[in-house]
Amino acid sequence: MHQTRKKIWSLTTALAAVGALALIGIIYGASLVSGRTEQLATSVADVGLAELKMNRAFTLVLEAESSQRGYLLANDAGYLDPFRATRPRAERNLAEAEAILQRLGPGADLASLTAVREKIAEKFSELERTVTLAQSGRRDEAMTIMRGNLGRDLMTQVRDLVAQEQTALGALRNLRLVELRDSAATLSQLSALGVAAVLVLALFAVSQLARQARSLALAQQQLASANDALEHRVTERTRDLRRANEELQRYAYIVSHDLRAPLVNIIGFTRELETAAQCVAPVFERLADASEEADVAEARRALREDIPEALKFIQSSTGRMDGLIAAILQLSRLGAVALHPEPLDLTALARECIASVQHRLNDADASAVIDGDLPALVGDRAALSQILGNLLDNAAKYLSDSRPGRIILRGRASGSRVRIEVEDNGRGVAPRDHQRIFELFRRSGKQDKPGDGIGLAHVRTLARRMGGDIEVRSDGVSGSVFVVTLPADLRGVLSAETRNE
Amino acid sequence: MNERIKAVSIVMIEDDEGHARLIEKNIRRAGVHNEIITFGNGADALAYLLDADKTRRGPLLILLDLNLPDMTGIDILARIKSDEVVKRSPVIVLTTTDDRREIQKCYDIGANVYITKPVDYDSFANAIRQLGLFLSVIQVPEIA
Repeated sequence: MHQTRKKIWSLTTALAAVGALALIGIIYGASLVSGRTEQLATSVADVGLAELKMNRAFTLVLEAESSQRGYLLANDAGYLDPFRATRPRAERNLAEAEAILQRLGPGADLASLTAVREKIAEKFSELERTVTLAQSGRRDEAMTIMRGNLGRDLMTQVRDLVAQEQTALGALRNLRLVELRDSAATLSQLSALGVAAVLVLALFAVSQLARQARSLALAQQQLASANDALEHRVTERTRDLRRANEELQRYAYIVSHDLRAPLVNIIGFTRELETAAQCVAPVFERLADASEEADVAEARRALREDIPEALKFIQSSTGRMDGLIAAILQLSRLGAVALHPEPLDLTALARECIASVQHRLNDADASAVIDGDLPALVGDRAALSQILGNLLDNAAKYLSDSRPGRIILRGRASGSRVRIEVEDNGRGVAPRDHQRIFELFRRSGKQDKPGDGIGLAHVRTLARRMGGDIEVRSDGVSGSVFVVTLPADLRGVLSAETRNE
Repeated sequence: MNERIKAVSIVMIEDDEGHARLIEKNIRRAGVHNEIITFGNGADALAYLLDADKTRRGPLLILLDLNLPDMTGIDILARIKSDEVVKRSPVIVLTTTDDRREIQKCYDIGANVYITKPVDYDSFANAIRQLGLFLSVIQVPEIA
C-alpha cells in the first residue's frame, strides 16, 4: 500500500512537472512570437515611411523643375532660393529612406532605390547646369537645353523608377503585413494555449489537493480505528494480566494458608510429644533405676538422646517452614496491598530510611549519603520506605571486606517516571544472578549472612504494585547499583487500575 | 463452676482433626469439662444445629473454623445467625486467617468473638487455654 502511494505520488509529481514545463514553453514561445510581431509591425510602418520619404524626394524634384522653369522663363531670381533648397532636402529624404530600407534587411531592394537616387541626382545636375548657365549670362543656351528632350526624358525616367520602387515597396509592405497577421494569429493561439494550460494545471492541482485531502482523511480514519482497536486490545490484555496476577496471588495465599493447617498440627503434636516425653522420662529413670540391662539401656538412650534429637530437628524444620509460608503469605498480600498516594519529599524520606539503618551502618563501618536532591513524587509512603529501607539494609549487609562501605543514593525524574538508584561498593551480584535475586527464597553469592531470600522479592513486588520495577547493575566484584523506576504520580496508575476493573 | 454453665455444650466445627484434638486438649487443660461435640464439615454441623429438636437441647456455644471443605465458615455463620433460635448461641470464630476484611465480615454477620489461631504452638496452646478460662465464666442464654 505504501509502495503504491509512493508510485502515485511520483507520477503526480512528474505530471505536474511536465505541465509546468509546457506552460513555461508556451510563455517563452509567446514572448518570442510577440517580439517578432512587434518587429513586423515596426517594419510595416518603416516600409510606409520609406515610401513616404521617396515620394517626398520625387515631389522635391518636381518642385525643383518648376522653380527652374520659373527662373528661366521669368528670369526672376526669387525662384533661385526655393530651387537651391530642394536638392539637399531631397537627398536627405532619400538617405533616410535608404537607412530605413537597410534596417529592414532582406526583402528590401536597395539597388532599385539607389537607381532612383542616381537618376534624381542626374536630374538635379541637369537642372543645376541650366540654372548655372543662365546665371552666367548664357540664358539662351540654358533655354535650348530646357526645350530639348533631355530634361523631359530624365523626368520620365525618374517618374518610372519611382513608380517601380513604389510597387516594390507596396509588395514588401503587403508581404510584411501577411507575416504580421500570421504572427498575430500565432500569438493569440499561443495565448489561448497558455490560458488552457494554466486552467488544466490549476484543475490538476485542485484535483490532486482534493485527492490528497480525501486520502488523508481516510488515513486518519484508519489510524483512529487502528488506535481504538489497539487500545481495546491493550485494555483486554491488561485485564487478562491483572486477572492472572490476582489468581496467582490468591493461589499463593491459599497455598500458604492451607499449608499452615497441617503445619500447626505437626508443631502442636510435636510439642505434645515433647511434653509426653518429658513426663515419661523422670518416671522411667525412677523405675528403671540404674539397671544396666541392654533393653533398658537402649530405652534410656532413646529417652535421653534420640527422642530429644528428633524433636529438635522436627521443630527447627517446622519453624523454618513456618517462616517460608509466612514469607509467601506476606508477598501475596503485598501484591494486593492498598496504596495511599500522597506527595512525598523523597530526600526527606531517604534521610529517615538512612537513619533507621544507621546502627547497622555504624556496626559495619559504612556510610550512606544522598547525592544531590531526589525528585519529588506522588507515591505510597509506607511502600517507598520499605523499598528504600530494604535496599539500604542489603547494601549495609553485603559489604566487601576489602574496603569501607560507601552507599550513595541518587535519583532523577525523566518524563512521567522517577528513577532512584542505590549504589554500593560492596561485594556485588554475579551477572547470572541479576534476575534470580528478585525471586522468593533466592540468594546470591557466599551464604555467610543470615537471611531467607525474601527482602528483594518483597521490594520487587512493591515496586511492581506501584506500576514500577527494579533491576540491578553489577559486575559481581566492585559493588552494585539497584535501580528502582516508579511512575512520578501513583494516582495515574491507580486510576488506570480502577478503569480497567 | 456452676451447674448452668456445666450444662452448656460446646459445638466445634473444625475439619482438621488434629486442630480439633489440640483445641480440645487445651480447653480441658484450662479446666473446662463441658461436653464437646465435634463436626468435621459444615453440612453435618448445620444439620445438627438447625435440627427440628433444637429447642429441647441445652444451651450451646459454637467454635467455628472458617476453612471447611464443603462450605465456607462465613456461610455457616450466616445460617446460624439467621436462625431465630440458634442465633442466640455465642459463636467464636477460631481460624488461621488474620485478614482484616474477613474479620470485619465475621463481626458484621454476627460473630461474637474472633480469634486468630497463632501458628506458634505455645501461643496457640496459651490462647486456647485462655479461651477455656473465658468459656468457664461466659453466660450463655438458655434455648427456649
